[in-house]
Amino acid sequence: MRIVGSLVMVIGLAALLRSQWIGASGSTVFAVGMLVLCAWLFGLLCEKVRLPALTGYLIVGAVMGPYVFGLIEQEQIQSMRFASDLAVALIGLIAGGEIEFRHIRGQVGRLGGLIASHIVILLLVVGGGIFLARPITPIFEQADSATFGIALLLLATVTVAASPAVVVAMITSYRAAGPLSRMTMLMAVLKDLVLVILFAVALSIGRAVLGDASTFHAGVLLAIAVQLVGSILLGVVFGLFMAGYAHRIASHLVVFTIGSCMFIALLGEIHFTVMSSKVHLEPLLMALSAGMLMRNVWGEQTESLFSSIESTSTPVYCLFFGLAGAKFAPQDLVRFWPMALGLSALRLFGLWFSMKVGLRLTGYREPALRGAWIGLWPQAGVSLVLVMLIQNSFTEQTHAVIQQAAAVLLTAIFIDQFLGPIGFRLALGRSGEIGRLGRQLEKTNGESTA
Amino acid sequence: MQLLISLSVVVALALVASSRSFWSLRRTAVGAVIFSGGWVAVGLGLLLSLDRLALVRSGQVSALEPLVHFALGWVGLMVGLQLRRDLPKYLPGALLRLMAMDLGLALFAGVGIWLAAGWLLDLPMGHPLRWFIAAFLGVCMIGWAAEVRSLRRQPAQDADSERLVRATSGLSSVFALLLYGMLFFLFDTPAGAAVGADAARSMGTVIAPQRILFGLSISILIAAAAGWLCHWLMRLAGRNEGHFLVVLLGVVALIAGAAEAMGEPPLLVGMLCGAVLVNLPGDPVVRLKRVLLEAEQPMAMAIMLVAGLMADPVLPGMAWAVVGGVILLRIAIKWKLIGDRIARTAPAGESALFHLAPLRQHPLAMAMAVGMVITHPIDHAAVTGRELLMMVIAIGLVCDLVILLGKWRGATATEQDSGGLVG
Repeated sequence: MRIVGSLVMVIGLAALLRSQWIGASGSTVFAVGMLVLCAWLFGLLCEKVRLPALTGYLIVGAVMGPYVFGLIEQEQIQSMRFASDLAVALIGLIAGGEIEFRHIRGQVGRLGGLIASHIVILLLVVGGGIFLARPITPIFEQADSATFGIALLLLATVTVAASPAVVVAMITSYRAAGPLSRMTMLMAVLKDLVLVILFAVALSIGRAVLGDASTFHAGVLLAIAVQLVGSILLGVVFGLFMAGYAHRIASHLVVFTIGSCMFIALLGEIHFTVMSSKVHLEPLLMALSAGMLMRNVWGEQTESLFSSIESTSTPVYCLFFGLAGAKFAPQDLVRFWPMALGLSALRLFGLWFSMKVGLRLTGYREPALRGAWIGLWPQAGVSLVLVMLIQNSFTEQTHAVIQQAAAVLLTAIFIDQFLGPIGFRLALGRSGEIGRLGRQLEKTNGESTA
Repeated sequence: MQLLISLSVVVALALVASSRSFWSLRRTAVGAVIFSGGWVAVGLGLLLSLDRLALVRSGQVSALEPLVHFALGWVGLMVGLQLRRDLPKYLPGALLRLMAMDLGLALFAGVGIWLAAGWLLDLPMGHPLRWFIAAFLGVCMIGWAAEVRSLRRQPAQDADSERLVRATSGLSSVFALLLYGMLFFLFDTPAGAAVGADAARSMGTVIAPQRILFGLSISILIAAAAGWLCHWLMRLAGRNEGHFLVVLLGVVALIAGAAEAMGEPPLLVGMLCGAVLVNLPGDPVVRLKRVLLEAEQPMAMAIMLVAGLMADPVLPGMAWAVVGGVILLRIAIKWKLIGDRIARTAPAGESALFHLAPLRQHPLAMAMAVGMVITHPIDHAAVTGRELLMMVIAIGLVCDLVILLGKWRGATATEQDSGGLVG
């Protein structure tokens, strides 16, 4: 009741200020405040009815966004883009910190095999499904074979993407620990690394086939390699710096964490050219490498830093997922819902089937891992960026089919974004991993006190 | 891009500077000027904004405005948290007398600046801008920096004068912000000022006394509602650090954003909100103070950097003359008159150094000047808002240099005295 009352108060105050004095275009800072508070409160409310808080953040963002009530304008979302980048860096640090080498030592080959088989099978299932559904899919009615082939390739590739952000946010907010949490985290993170390469190749092939033949050359692969290796190396340097700070100075850790994430996000904005291909450093990868390095090399020294990162994470999640929700356009859902729903269902089946086969092939026997496929259901930041790249690479005038396919994909991503966390919460609950981290910490503290 | 990277670098520097390892360095006179005074950040800002280097364009600076509004709201909240209901009970008479004296002298200085501004900047007697400059620089004259340990020879020794300097500094910031807020309302932006070059030139120069009551009422209303909401939500957040941070960041963004959109000063609204919060029952305020203080140094550094970026370093000769006049007034008032009073209770051998303490400009002056440039832009042929900001920077820097010189001379004199005694 108190939560509902608080939510009413925040909305009431914000509505009063907006209607009387602030006006529609308002202020970006005001919009941030409103979004963060409402998302947090609605997240608490969702938790009360056993839904993930994250779903609450997304719903609040969608409701307040420019396409529903318009409490947050499109320009304001643009000007808050930096906050999203910052959040990605923070999520990367948390994800990196969760990957402990001692857990995967001796099973690198098996894990690699699982990821490879999962990606290949998922691509085949989704690609095959789209191929079979072509006659009943309106957007492909007028498409020639080449255009259809490229649309299929791009759609299937993007469906491989998971959402490390959602996985990390869910695991940290539920203080989950165990084989399911660990495996989902590893899969979501490592799969995205492979996806970056796969997508770059698919997009280059698409551009080459559908007109701009000059864009596909060996330089593309070199550029990707520079992007990946450069991001990892810079992340290592950053990890050294952060560990040094946590060890030697160790003050103002919350501010230091936010400052570091800001810096990582800024580095991601820098673009340079490699063999005529535009390259930029990947904030997620940089933060991931930094987090992994700190956790695995200076685990004890950086423990306080990771604790402060966790305490900072709630406002960041509220803002990041609130903004992600604000991009949701219900009119696209109205227009494309049958195809989007079909694609989402196909992907879900692909995830389940590929993980089932992959686990069997690689010999993973833990019963908890059977639910890992649901953890890969949510899609968010990475997938949205990839769709945006598709939209920017093919113009509406010349490639209407690709543009429409991208719109369907976007709608399917939003469906996965809203429903995925609910599924993952159920899987975590069924595996008994929710709250296990807290219990483990209490046990450790109890033992050390004794 | 360079701008945001600089901001990150400055915040990183601020973190390092506020760390324990650098604590002793900050306690030296030079260290205090560089780190606590924030001149590194101001210098970096000025350097980046130089046209010749072309590192930062003005459009990029305006992209930082949301962050600056947030930072100003944060600073205001910090100031307001001093205002406990029972505060008057604990204020000694000496402090109140010193405070009254400082306010009176600031008013006197304002009259001096009004005379100088009219003469040097060629503004007619009744010109609102002349009044604005005098009032604004007069408000910036109120109070002094709380940092005093770096001036002392024996900082470990307990001293009434040190407490007096600190407490008066804290209280004066409240008065300074109140008067600053009044200035905002008194000197209104005329309707349609953005239309037409002539109208734009007179921005911020219309005297509108009827706005004071309205503006102040709105500020109090927003602050009261936000303060009460923050208190309620903090209780809901309970012991969870993450939730507590959501409430704090959300409410500061809400008040700073509302103030920005309504043309109210975020510093004032933040302060009033802090005053409401600190007087509501419960323990969340202690946590709030801790979190706010933890971010104090980085926040201050960020504001200093923005001050450097926004200031116009090329001041006309007459503006420099005004700066010189204000510095002389400051030395006469703070060093001679107020310094004398403070030095009376100083420990033996530190009297000369305590004379210097009130000379250092209050860091809030820089925040007020930045707020003025962002929310109350002045673009007049005689002086612009950016030039006024530069004047505040110049006054603060010269005063700090005078302090350094004074400390060096004071120390030398004390050594000679003690040498004589021993000899």
